[in-house]
Amino acid sequence: MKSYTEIANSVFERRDIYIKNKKRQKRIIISTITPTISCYVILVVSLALFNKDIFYNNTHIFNESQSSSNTNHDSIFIGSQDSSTNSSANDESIPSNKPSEDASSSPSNDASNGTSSVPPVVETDYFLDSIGKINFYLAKKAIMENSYSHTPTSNVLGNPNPLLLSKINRYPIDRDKVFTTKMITYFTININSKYGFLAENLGGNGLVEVVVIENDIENLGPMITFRKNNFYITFLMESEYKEPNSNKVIRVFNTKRSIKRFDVYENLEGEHLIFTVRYNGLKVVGFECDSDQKGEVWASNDDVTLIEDNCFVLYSEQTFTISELEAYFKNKSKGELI
Amino acid sequence: MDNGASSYRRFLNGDDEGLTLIIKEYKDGLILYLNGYVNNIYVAEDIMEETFFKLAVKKPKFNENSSFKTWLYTIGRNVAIDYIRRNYKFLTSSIEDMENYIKEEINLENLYIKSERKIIIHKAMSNLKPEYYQVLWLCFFEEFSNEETAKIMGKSKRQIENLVYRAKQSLKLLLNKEGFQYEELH
Repeated sequence: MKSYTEIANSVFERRDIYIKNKKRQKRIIISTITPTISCYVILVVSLALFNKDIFYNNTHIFNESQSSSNTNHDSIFIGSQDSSTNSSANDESIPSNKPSEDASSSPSNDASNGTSSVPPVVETDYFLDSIGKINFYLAKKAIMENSYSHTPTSNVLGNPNPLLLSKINRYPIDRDKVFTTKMITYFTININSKYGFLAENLGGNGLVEVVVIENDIENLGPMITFRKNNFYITFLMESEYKEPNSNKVIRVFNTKRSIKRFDVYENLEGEHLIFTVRYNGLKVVGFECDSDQKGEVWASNDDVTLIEDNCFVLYSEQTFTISELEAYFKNKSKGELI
Repeated sequence: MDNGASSYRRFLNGDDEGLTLIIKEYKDGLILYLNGYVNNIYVAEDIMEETFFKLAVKKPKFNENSSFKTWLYTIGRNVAIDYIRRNYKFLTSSIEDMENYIKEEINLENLYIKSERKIIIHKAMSNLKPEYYQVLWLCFFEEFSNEETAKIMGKSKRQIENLVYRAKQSLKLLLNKEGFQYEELH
């Protein structure tokens, strides 16, 4: 039997060895891990720097191309004025927290207000990569082909910035398939609300182009597309009312079902808005944006004003393919503003 | 606060002498208690040393919910169970070892238990089931309360009461068999 001093000595001796070993292991681990982590950090930083270089190089190219093409831009927008003066007058440039439908081209939005150092991406090719853009272009084509020449009386109508389309991945949609449009409505509204849903999703206050359209791309029925600069948001129709023995029609759209690119998204959060478009014959006479009272939480609605003099309504079947539509605008003079 | 707790606090504050005092005070009792698990005084001694080594290295926190001795014996029991799990196949002793072992046990009994009457009982106890030995050792030799014993052995108070009753009955039979007059252990 060991005495207590022997046991104590043995315990302390073992403890010292244990601590020594522990320290040695720690040293080995640190000496192994530190270079690994350092290499990893260097690699990540290098990659980040490399990507940054690419970004700046591209920005430089954009700057050059913008300076050469900006001066040629013109608009088919009826009663257009100089884009920079109008958009800056109306836009409060609320930064949007929500992703825009066409996020790929979003940097140019700020540039329209002259507040961002990132220049707008000047299109080199037309490419319709979302239903929202297709809707908008269809409306523009219809307006151009139908020689819409009404001059609005309102001076607030400005020229939205160029339709900026970037080359991105193509979607698995048959671009040569023939689609049909049954109805096209085009009008403009003015948004003036600080935290409204539209203002947030369209990159700020100001003039917004609205297209109400029915085509059979995905057989989704009538839908409404809002476009401001290069932000597009599209929602599906909820209901339609026709007043008997009159030309009055009311179409109601709900933010509950939206379209991103070519996909329909259902918003289950109960935070919905309804957009009501009132027609009287071939004229849009009213547009309202209200909270959907069926939902538990209401989205903040916008203070919107319809610019009545600037509307276009067409009820006739038209066929198109996406390739044709792209080519239609591609063949227009370079730098043409839409 | 008992001496063990204050010594342990000294040790935690960096004074190794604190642990030395704990070893001095508790080693014999712990060996005899652990012997109830392994039935080998040498192995019990190793486990006791391992228990103190664990205290020295891990420095577990003593939160004073029980006495220091209860806490220490609980650690000892856990170390013993670990040991048995790892080495249960090798817990056999040679005859030579057994002779030494008996000698050592007698020495330790004389040193720790002192009272001759208790030594006789302790000897008889070594023929009991390990669980009976452990509970009787804790309750009547170390004078732990039923509650403390329950804590050390990882059982409920009720289980300990039953165990003590059965252990006493078993011991009574053994002592009667060997011609001793059984007296209530108190």
